[in-house]
Amino acid sequence: MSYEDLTGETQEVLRRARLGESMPARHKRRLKSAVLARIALASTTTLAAGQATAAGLFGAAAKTVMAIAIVGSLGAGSYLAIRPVRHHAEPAARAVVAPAEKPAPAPPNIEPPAPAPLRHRVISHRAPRPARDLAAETKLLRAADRALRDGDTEAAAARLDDHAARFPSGALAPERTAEQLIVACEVGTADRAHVDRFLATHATSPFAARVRRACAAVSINR
Amino acid sequence: MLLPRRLPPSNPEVPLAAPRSRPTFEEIYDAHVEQLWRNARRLGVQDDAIDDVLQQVFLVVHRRFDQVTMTSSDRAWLLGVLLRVVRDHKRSLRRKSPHRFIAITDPETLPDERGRQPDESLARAEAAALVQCWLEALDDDKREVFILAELEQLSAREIAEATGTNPSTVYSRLRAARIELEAAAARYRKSEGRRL
Repeated sequence: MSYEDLTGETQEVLRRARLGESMPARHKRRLKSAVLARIALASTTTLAAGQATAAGLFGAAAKTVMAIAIVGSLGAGSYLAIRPVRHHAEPAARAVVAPAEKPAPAPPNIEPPAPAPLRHRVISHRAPRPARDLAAETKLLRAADRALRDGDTEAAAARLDDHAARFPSGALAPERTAEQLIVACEVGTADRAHVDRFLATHATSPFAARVRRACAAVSINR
Repeated sequence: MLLPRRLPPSNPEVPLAAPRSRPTFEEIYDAHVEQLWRNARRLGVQDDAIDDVLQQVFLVVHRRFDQVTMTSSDRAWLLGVLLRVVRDHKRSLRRKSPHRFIAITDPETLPDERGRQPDESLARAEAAALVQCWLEALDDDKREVFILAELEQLSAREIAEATGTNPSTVYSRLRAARIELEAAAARYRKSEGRRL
């Protein structure tokens, strides 16, 4: 059957569907922040280890990555903070939805927004994940990674527990799990099933290689 | 399998900044995120998992950053990365819970219909929803090929590259996919009791 053999109606539906739907701009920005944070974290922790593979792994991207990481000691966090994150400037219906709420500290020159359609109200009412959460997540995981590299597995585990308590489903949760597995492998308390599950579900994660390495050399509980 | 990338032939007709500089990672993100999002949905990724899937795709893109050149065949390569990540995602989903298919809809992940004429966005949204419904009748192999061929309009060679198969497999899957999709469309029309 060729395309021409499809009925005219099906062809017409396909033609319209081809044009596709639009991804919401806020979703694009939010996702981009999360992606950049994960890259910055993975890259700097990998590069910091002085691994021979680092240069080959990142190639031309290393420069970009390091640029991200170097902007302030918080790395991705600071980088994200300078990006336009205007939660208070966008919610067109904030005043309508929650008039009793304490007003957001908006710059005084922002004009009161025009009333938005209902659909926009729903979107703006939802609390987005603030960039500062990402900065805090990055900072905690960096600290954990540093401790781990210094051989202080106890401090590393404490930072990771802290991250798990504060950001149970944070943007960097997979990175936390990876670091937890590495710690567990180093102290000999890792569970093979956990390691395998992580490697199976995060095969493409930059952390997978580190987990594999850390957990290959040590005995693992079965 | 990720295939080695070729540099594009220099083309003076291409209206890009000259001398052509390598795109930054952010440029690649901006240029491709929308189509990756759209196709992740078409491939059946639920709203609550779409961020995770797209993040995985961009982590791969970042690792292969020096191989992405933003030519038309990069589109095929990126869609190939998406296909692999989505397959892994579905596999892990089946392992976790074979019956977990209740979507948690995040308002921010819904399509953006602002700035369009109401009838235009309605027509697109309706068509996308219909096609989505028909695509569910196809298995993963046929669905992938159908999306890449009929919605993304990639060539058989590009689809073969993206799906890790060969053009003759692509053609045979596409033929079968068309038949099954047309049957799904006919069933739909019958159940609706009206012509579209």
